[in-house]
Amino acid sequence: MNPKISSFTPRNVLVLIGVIFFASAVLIVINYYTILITSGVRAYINGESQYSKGQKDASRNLLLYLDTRDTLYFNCFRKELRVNIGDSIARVGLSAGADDSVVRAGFTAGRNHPDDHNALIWLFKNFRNISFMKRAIQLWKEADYIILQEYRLAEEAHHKILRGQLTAADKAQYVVKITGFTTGLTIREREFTGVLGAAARTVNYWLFITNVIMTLLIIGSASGYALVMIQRLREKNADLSRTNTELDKFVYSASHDLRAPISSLSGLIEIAMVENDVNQIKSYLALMKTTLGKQDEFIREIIDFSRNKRTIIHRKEVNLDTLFDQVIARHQYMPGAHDIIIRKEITDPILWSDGLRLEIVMNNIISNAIKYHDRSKEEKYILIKSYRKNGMHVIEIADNGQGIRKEFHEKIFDMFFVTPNNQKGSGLGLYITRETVSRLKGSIRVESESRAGSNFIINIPAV
Amino acid sequence: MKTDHKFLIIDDNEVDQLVTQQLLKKDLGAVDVAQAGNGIEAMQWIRDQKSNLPDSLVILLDVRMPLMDGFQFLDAFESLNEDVKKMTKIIMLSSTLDPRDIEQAEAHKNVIQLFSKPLPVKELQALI
Repeated sequence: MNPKISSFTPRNVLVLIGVIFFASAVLIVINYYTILITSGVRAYINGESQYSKGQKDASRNLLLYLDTRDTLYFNCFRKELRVNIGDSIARVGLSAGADDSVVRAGFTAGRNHPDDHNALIWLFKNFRNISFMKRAIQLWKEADYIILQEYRLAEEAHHKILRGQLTAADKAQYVVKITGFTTGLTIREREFTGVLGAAARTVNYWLFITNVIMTLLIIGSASGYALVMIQRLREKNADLSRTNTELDKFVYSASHDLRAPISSLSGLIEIAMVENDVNQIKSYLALMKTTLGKQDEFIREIIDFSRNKRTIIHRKEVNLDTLFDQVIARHQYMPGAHDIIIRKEITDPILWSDGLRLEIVMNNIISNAIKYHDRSKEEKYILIKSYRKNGMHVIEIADNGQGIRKEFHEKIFDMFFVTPNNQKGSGLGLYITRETVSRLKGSIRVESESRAGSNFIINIPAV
Repeated sequence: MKTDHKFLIIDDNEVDQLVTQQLLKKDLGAVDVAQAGNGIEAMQWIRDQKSNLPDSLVILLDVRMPLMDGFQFLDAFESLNEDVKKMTKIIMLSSTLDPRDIEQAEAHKNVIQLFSKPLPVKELQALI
């Protein structure tokens, strides 16, 4: 497996998904609040324009009133100034924590659209202590104070006019003051929109940065996730095609091995048919029997192989002593078996394992030991030992048979590997043995020397 | 029926060796039939012949054998000198059903034909 990809453990993939969720959540929250802030700012800038318009109209009417002394203008002045007074009520209400209905009434008088009220209130309440809003509120307060002064001046002028006491000097003084008020307000109004506008731009800037970062995070994590998944799919596909190749190989090898005896039989029949010598024919028949026996053995091995692969492990108490007796009994009629002395040295026969699988293993090793005995040796033996060591059950099956050359020690457990010998195995027996041992979570190895003998050592977990 | 060809059977299966040998002798009248258990033994046999090599050698080659299989033998055969190669005909003989083996055998320039076991004598006769 590719080491780079294997570092993407399921936990790392979860981290990637977590990052995507986190970044998405941050984006949603940030965008939501930015919309609230910018719509609040927009509402305040709108409100300011109404405020400014109201005050300017009021001042114009007041100046006209001073000129004409027509009360119609004074009433207009009062009406227009209600806009500023309304906003002033809202501000004082918000600062003092008054009921929202009072604040809304103030904003309504200030000609703010009812849909903007929530944004106005929210921004004030949440940002009143943040520098830009603090400054805006301060400016608003100062403007309200100027409005109050203008209102007082208007009332004073109105009284003078009603009583006919307004002199030309008074009027000139009032005009100067009113112009002063308007100038003072204009300065504050400009700063008010300036402060809020700058805040909105700053918020927008940071919003943009955050959006870019979060979007990159999401794209990065999503791409990472996709790459991991694609890589996993590729690995799965590679595994599958490897499995398919192995299966193909197995099918062809198995079919070859199943077919080879049929070809041999067919050839034997062919030569037997043209043979007249009865003894020769009998020798052909004996060969046919051997050939059939081999095929039968091969089919049994295939069944063992599939049984080991498919069936579940069934652990129960196994007595190795009786298990070996059964295995030995089964092989006693094999050619050469009667000539071999089989001894057991079992110190700890009870084992908690899968008896059927252990039997497959013992059958294969014992039958090999008998099949490959060394005819040249005077005394032929097989020695079976079993003992406990380091929490493992060790089973050793040693013989003084033909032995296995060093170069084949690694290969003998491979599927379809056959050593050059006169017995012609299927190449499945020891493969099945190793597979079976590993399904029992054990291990198997061989110590052997050509012509001296072999010792198969199996370690099986004792529990 | 009599043939002047010399035959070399390369097969690890003793039964098949016997069958092929008997078929060659009885059906084709072959006199000179040698046997090798795998590619290594076969190469050794060819080298041992040296000047003794016949005018026409027919090799019947099995595919699956231990130590050196049929295709490995074909590679080793390439290294022999041209004279030996010229007077040798190689016929593969196997019970394989693996299409890769069949393709490889048919594509090989030194292989005349791949026959399925047991040896079809009449077809062999037509080829050599």
